[in-house]
Amino acid sequence: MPRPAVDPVRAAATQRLRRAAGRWLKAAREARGLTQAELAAILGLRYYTFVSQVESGVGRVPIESQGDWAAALGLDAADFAGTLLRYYEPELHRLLFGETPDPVESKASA
Amino acid sequence: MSALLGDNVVPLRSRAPAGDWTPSERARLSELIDRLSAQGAHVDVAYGVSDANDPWCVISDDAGNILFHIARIAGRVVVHDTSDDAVRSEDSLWGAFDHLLGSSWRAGREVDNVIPLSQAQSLLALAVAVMFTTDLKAQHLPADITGSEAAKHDDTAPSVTDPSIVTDLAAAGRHVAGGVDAAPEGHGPASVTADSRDGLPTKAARLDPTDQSLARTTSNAAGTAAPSSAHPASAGAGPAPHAGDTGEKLLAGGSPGKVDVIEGGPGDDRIFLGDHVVAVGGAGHNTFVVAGAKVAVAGAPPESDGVVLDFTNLDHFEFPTGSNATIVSVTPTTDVLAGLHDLAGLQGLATTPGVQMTVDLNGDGRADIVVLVAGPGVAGLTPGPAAHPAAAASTESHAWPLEPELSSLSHLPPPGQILLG
Repeated sequence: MPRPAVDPVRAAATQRLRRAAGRWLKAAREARGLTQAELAAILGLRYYTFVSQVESGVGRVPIESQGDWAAALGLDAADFAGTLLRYYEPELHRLLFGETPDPVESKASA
Repeated sequence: MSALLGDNVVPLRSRAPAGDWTPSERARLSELIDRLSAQGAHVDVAYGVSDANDPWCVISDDAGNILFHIARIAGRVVVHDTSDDAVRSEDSLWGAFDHLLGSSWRAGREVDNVIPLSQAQSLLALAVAVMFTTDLKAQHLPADITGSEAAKHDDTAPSVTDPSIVTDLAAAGRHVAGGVDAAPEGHGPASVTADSRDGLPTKAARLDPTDQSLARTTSNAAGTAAPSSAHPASAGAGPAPHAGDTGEKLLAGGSPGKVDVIEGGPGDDRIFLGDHVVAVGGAGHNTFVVAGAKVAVAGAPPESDGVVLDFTNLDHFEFPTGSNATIVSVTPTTDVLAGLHDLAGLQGLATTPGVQMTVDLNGDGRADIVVLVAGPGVAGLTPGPAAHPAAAASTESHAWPLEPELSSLSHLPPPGQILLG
């Protein structure tokens, strides 16, 4: 069965949110005083450039490791997962938690 | 003692450079992407550099599933193949790709692009002999097609700077990854299914630097060479056969819609330029052989004869007309790859300052060809006779057994198809 075509508007929105998530992750890491390699070592990653990858907005932090990321960054796990959910799955976040401002838009207007 | 040695002894083993991917590595990565695309997958690629200046590259399918994460970390190449969640570390991309693609890929690439010098010389000798024979048979061909007649043919062969080609390729090319789901690094296999790799739309026209088969070169050189129909972009855009001829008059630049990225190895390479060639000589004393298949008519701008990205003081150009060639002008340019950055194989390459060198091949005072050159050796390129040390027109060990007349230059094999290693 042919695959549905990728909606370019949706893809662009997704990428915009992923990049915003990456910037947020990077800020959290730097606030913790960790390099990408140091964070990767704490997380037990096999290659540290994965941290750079997600901070660049390419891909996302896997759900199963978000608890470890939160701990490494000194953040509350629920808050960490909730923030990432807002970036990664904004519609699901809206359904679960109600309307919340677009994290990118709200940051831009701040 | 050891401290003294550590301070003064340079390790013999070379290490990969720090920082972003080199042009050579980019070309190799693009080759992997091209091979994936050739299998029908629509892949996206994203490049980045870590905070410690280690480059990475992520290849994903259009559903956002990451296929490969490739990084150069502390001089070693790390590859995460998410299909089996295996992470491998190799000395170089060559070794990494041996694992990814199997040992046959390198052999196939070498057959495609690099042939031993002795074989190449034999091939070229055969090719030129056939061309010469074909020329003799073409009694109706005017003795001199360097004028408007040649221009008529040349007009059908788009140059690398042809906006339509750039547009077509950009439209058909890949785009930077968006909406990519990260491979669950260190947390089990990624969700890459057979469906995610198969059944995806194939690009209608795309740059394929690996599609330079020796067979095609041989065929073309042997005078059977109608423009290749293998590439959609060549249909109707290739050189028209000479009127009344048998259609064997092949004009240089015979790969419309494609750019051949030719990369030399660490040794002394001879790389044939052409209007669809982007050359990376690599280390060693490299010779960039200008095809010079087109001679400008009065008032016509010089034709592109390709791009050299890493010209050094050890390298030189070789012109088909030997000492008759003259460098007319050397003009700084902000980017020798202007208009080409969206093409597969060149994506992500930084703006590359260099010079635009125009050359008069036949001594008529008009610039016939233009070559865009970047690299530390461009300072040695100055207007004047091409016998300049940095741009010497080699007449020794010449590639062409017969000094070709300008009228026969239009029969040269398409540029960018042979790399003599």
